[in-house]
Amino acid sequence: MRSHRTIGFTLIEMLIAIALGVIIITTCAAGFRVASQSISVANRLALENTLMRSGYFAAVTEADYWESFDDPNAMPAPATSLRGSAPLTYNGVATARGMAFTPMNQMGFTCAAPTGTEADRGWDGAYQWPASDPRSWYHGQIPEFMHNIDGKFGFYEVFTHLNSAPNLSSTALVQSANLVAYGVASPLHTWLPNQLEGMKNALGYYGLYDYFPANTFFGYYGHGDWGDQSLSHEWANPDAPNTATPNGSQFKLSGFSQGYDYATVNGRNNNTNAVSFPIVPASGFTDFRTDTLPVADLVGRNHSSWVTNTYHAAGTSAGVSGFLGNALVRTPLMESRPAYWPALHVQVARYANQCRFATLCRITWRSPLTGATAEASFTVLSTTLRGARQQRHQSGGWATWTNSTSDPILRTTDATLDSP
Amino acid sequence: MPIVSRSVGGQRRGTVLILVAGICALLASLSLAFMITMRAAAEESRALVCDAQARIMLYAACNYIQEASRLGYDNGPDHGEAHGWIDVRDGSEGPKINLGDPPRFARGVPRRFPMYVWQQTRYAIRPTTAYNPISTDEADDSRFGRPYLANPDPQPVATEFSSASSTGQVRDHLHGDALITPGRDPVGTPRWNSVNLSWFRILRVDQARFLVTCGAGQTQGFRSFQEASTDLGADAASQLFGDADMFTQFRDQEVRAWYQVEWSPAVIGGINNTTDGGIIGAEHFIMLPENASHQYYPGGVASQSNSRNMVGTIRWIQRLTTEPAAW
Repeated sequence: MRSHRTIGFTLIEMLIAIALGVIIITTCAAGFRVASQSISVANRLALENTLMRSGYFAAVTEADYWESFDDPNAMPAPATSLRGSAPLTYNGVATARGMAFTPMNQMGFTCAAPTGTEADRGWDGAYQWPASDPRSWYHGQIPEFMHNIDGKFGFYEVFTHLNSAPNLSSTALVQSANLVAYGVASPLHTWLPNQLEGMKNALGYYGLYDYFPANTFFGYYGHGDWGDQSLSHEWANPDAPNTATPNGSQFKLSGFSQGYDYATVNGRNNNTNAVSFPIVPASGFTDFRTDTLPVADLVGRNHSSWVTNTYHAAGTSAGVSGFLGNALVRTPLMESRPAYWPALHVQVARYANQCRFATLCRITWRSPLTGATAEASFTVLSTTLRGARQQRHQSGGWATWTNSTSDPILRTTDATLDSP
Repeated sequence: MPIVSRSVGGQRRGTVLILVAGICALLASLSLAFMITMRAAAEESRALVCDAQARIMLYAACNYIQEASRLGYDNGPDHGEAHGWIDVRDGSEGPKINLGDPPRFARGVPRRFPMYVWQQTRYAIRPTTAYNPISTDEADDSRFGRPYLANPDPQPVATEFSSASSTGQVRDHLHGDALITPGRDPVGTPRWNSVNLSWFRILRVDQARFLVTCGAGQTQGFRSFQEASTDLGADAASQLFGDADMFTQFRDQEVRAWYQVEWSPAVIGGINNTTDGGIIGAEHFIMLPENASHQYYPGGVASQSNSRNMVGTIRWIQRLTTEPAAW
């Protein structure tokens, strides 16, 4: 018998089914949307975290290897780089000046056969400056300094001097300070002044601070305004902050904290108390495009300081803005990234301030969708300038250092930037 | 036969099954992708954490080099101190208490420093915020609202520290949980979750130059399983690292970095010392160290924390581009 049972739906069934279906589909769609959004957010956060990690590794790698300041694989060095040198004139005296990665032998500041005596000249990388060595002692008495004359650390020029036979008969200075004219003298200690002078000229101000021991007093007698009986103002007589000068506040090694008439020979602490001494790289990633500067200008900026601890010059080329524009290398990572990825930059600056050698690392990422910018800043203990110079081969590439079980001293057969 | 009706019912159930299975598959794939992403992120984060821990070891190693130039050799009644890696008295090789003694840290002999946190460090103090809260008890007329400094601040973790009968607790306070062995440095009991994370290792390569290896991982600074077996004994090495193959796995997973470091006996003079400000002011001989927690200010008192750094400075650091032969 043929069945009369219907095979379709009733209207009620249809309505209930449609209503239930809508509810189910809506719920599913909402759940799916929430799940998708959650995953999108998680992926975006994961992407940002990945960028942060990439930025961290780029920053600490830079901290250890200094490639933003000197790329040993980009040889020969570009026309403008920190391996260059140029003559600079100060106080009427023109001297050849190098920068942070200028080879020592290019500046004639090496010591191929050290004797360990006062007669040595040039840099001896094996010497470890023992405190018991009188050569490394500071021979002077700063409390004896005299205001407004250039006898800045007592009248000890007869004992320690840049020159081996200085003429200590300056009439003006003798009359001013009621001193006796010594005539032509033979100072016992000439090694330390020549080390200071040579390093200042060879590497610039940051290099001078980096290479010398922490207790160094930066100053010595020789070629000053009163000839052999005074020291150059470059060492101990700060200028007023010059906001018109494009390359830093002063072409001097002195800080401002003591006032201009009270300036004397200072240690690293006082010199860097109010100003910062950066390494100015030849980089296309600085705000001032320091890679386009003439070499002499770049050399000048590496023999300068910026007022970074006071407000009066903050917005000027002599203050923080000038400092950052010169010294902060803002390197973009992944320039060819997808358009919707955040822009990532890594910034590393090297400078001496408040007696510290700062390696300031800053990672910045900016969302192209929201414009939101975030950054992480930190400093890190890492390779110092001297270490970075020892890492590099003079003619490009990395120097290999190794040792052996029988001879633990680390040596390199490659010529580094400090080699004779 | 109800073939047709069964067929229609089967289609309905099959459709629902397909829908449910599809949605489940979709959610499962999304979840899987999410978990894979998170897993990858966690792996990458681990690499970052290890790198950061290894870099922290460079700080620790430099601190050790500085302090070991003078401190840590006081095993006798004379409370002697050493005089630097290059003895400041005569330029001979130190550190040593008396001139003519052999150096207390030989060249070419590596030392390991696996790092961990003690259960109770030396001189541990209680994490109490306020030892002398102002009384809010109005009934106590003698104390209400008065800022009495009745209790010492801070106070040690060891109880009854000030009691004359608490000699043991005083000792506990001074030594933490160190296992005191005559003639050896005290070793504290590590917190279980702080071990096998990071280490440093020092090889003195010259008078004042050191090869510092910084590591983050489980090898505790051993170069090889063989070295661990020689140093610790075969049983202890097996307990720690299993066998040579497993040690190799540990070694391959950890971060290692090599630095050459030079120590200098020079310590920094501070602001206004032996210069103009120091001459004018009353603190001519006060040396403010580089990392003083107190800042100099006119009229301020130079406290103990403004004392001079007495353990030398790190003159330069060089990251090595390749692993050296001996470390």
